[in-house]
This record gives sequence, structure tokens and C-alpha cells, in this order.
Amino acid sequence: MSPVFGHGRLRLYLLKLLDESPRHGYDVIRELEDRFMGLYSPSAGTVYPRLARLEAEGLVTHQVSEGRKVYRITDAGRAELGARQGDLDDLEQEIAGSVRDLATEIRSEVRGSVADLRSELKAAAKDVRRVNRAQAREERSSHRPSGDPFRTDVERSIEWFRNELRNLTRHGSRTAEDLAALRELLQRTLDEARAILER
Amino acid sequence: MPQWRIETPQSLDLEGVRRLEVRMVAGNVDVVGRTEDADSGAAQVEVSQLDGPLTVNLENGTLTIVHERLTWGGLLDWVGNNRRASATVSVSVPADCPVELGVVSADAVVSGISADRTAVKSVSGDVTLDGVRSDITAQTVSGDLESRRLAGTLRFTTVSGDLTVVRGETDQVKAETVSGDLTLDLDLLAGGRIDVSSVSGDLTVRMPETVGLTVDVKTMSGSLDSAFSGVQSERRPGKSSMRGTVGDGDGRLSAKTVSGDVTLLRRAANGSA
Repeated sequence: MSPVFGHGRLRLYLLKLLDESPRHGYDVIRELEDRFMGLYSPSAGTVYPRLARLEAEGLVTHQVSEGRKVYRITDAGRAELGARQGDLDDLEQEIAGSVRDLATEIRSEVRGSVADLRSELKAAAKDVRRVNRAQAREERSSHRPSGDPFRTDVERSIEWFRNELRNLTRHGSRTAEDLAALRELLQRTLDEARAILER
Repeated sequence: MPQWRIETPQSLDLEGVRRLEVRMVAGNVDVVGRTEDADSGAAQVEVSQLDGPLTVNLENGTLTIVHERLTWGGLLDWVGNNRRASATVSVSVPADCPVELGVVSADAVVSGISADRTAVKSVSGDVTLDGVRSDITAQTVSGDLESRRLAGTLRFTTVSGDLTVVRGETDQVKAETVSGDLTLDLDLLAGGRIDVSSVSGDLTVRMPETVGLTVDVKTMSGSLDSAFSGVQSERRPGKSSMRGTVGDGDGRLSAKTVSGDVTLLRRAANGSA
């Protein structure tokens, strides 16, 4: 469970555990599990590299005993622990805290990452939308060149015709005969238009 | 059959817990799965604030924590009832314990649970899930559902609650919403399905660029956008659609909205999130 440790605090806690007594790696893992009531169970892949790094920094050292590495804190390690006593106190207090504190921490962390994700995806969505709109505009303009005055005029005439016709049919009641006659007229007009344009 | 009527803040240590049911009116309920002593069913109930009595009951492995007279069906009836019932309850249970949670306005956190089933019902309380690996069913009226490190399947039904999934690994998400927004950042397992229907809620889904997906999205008046080039949208007044295939087309994304926008985003393989 990641929320418990962050920003080098696991490193600090490892020093503290080794200050209490020398331990081998597996002991360290068990000890962490116990102190966190099983809520935090670090893997060997988390703990061993950190122990190795502490050793590289000269804060711990190890001896091999019965084929296992037993880690022990150095004076430099103790000095580091002393220098960060405040951080350690905070950490211990949190560990002594309860499920409620853990849950509060989880809640605020999840809320934070939810807010981050939503704003990140909102921004990404905006980008995609902008690109798509620009593409669509380009396609439209390549399909029908807007500079063609004949087309523009035809569009305008059709629009005018549609509006006039709509106004004419808005009032009064119409019969099925009226509708049929009107359809026939429109069909004839379209045929005549075709005859003109296909000359 | 051990039963406790809790009227003052206190903590109970229990054993033999195999299932958890919580029904609460107001306050907070936190459920955390623990791996230590899971075999013996070790659990802890910590009640830290209390206004009105709670009943805790352990019977045949089922741990029940309830505000009196609040039944599953009665969650909605409680709204407008002015009898006071509020508590802050924190529970740790074995991580493999199925959890059933019902709240009126209480906020809930469920964390570290890997059980077959997890069910949450909420009227207006917000629900936070962290590291839940389960078949999850969640229903809310106006409560939000926020989830991180989700694994398994999720069925979510809401009126106006928002759903946000941060880095979920799933083979099925099914969500129905009226006006709640859905924001999903997912790794869809092979052959996985996402099914969404919404009236005005927006859907934003992000998936890895390596995903295999067949997309079928319809809307009446929402806008449709995709960052995957294999997915094309067709706009018509009153009826737009977005369809296409990404990669091997193995998974499915189906969505229907009336006026909600649908946006499909791509996450780079290196996984900046």
C-alpha cells in the first residue's frame, strides 16, 4: 500500500528499524508488516534495493551470518537518524494512527489524483476537438470551393425558394389533393432544372 | 451470536469475519482490507464519532454494522427522516472479504479489498475505492464514485453522480447515468467491454495506444471526438455516430448518449498519467 510511505520516509524507517537491532532483510519486511497490522506489506523488491542504497551511502553495513546478510546501522546512520528526529516522530505518530487516518489519507490522495486526471483529460479532449474541427473544416473547404459564385448564387436561390414556399404553406388547411399537386409541380420544376444544367 | 449496541466511541477486535455488511445514514465509513491474520478472519471495528446508536453483529462469519432500522430497501426512505444517526466507523477486515455497503449521506472509502464481490449503494454520499480488485456493483443517486487502481469489473448506475476511474485495469465497465459525467482512464484487458449509456452526462475515455478496440458510439446532439485515427465520426442533425476499429479490434466500446459529449483519448505507451 503506497500511501504510507513517500519522499524518502521508508528509508528513514528502515534506519530506525536497524537502530533498534541488527536484522536481516526478511526480518525487516516482517517487522514492517507487523507494525502496519498487515496494511502495508513491502515486497523484497522494495526493501532490498533500499538497504543496498543505504549501504552505498555508508549509513548501514552488513555481515554475512549463516549465509544471510545481517544489516546493522553505522555511526553515520545514527547521525542521520538524529538529524531527522522530527520527521521520524511524525512518521511514528502516523503509524500509531488508525485505519481512519489511513482512510483519510487514501481519500485525499484519490481525490487529488481524480482531480489531476480530470483536468488532464479535459485538456487532452480540448486538443483532440480542436484538431478534429480544423480537419473537418479543411475537408469541407476542399470538397466545395467556397469561391465559386455560381454555386453560392444557387444556394441562395434555393434558400429563398424554401422560405417563400414555407411561408405560403404556413396558414390554412390543406387537402391531400393540394399536396399531390404541389409535389407534382416540384418534380416538374426539378426536371426542367436538370434539363437546363445538363445541356 | 455476539452483538453489540454501540453508544459511545469504542474499538472492537474480532475474529472469524468472512463477510462485511455496513448500512449507515450519515458520517464516514472506511473499510480497509488487511493481509495479516487473514486466515483467522481478524477484523477491527473502530467507532470514533457517534450520534445515535449503531448495532454491530457477528453471525456465521458475517459482520454487520448498521444504524438501527435502516434496511437495504430503506436507504431512499431515510431521506427526509430527521432522526439523527451519524457515525465515523473504520473497519479493517481480511482482504478477501466480500463487502456490501449502503449509505444515505455518509462518505465511504473502500481500500485494499480483493474479493469476489463488492457492492456499494449510496444516495448522496461519495464513494472512494482504492486498490479494489473485485466484481464491483455501485449505485448512487447523486454521490460520486472515485476509484484508483481498480481491477476486475465495474457496474455503475447513477442519476447525477460522477464516475472517475484513475488507472483501472478491467475487462468490463458498464455504466448508466442521467447527468453524471464519466471519466475513465483504463487498461482494457483483451476482449474487454465498455458499455455506457447517458442522457446528458459526458463520457471521456482514455486507453493505451496499443489497445484493440471496436468502437460504436451514438448520440443525438452531443459531440463525438476520437484521438484514434481508425475511428471516424459522422455528423448528422439529431443523430451522430462514431465507429471504427483500433488495433486488432478485440475489445468493445459502446456508448449511447442523448446530449452528452463522447471523447476517446489515447495514452502514449510509456504511460504518462
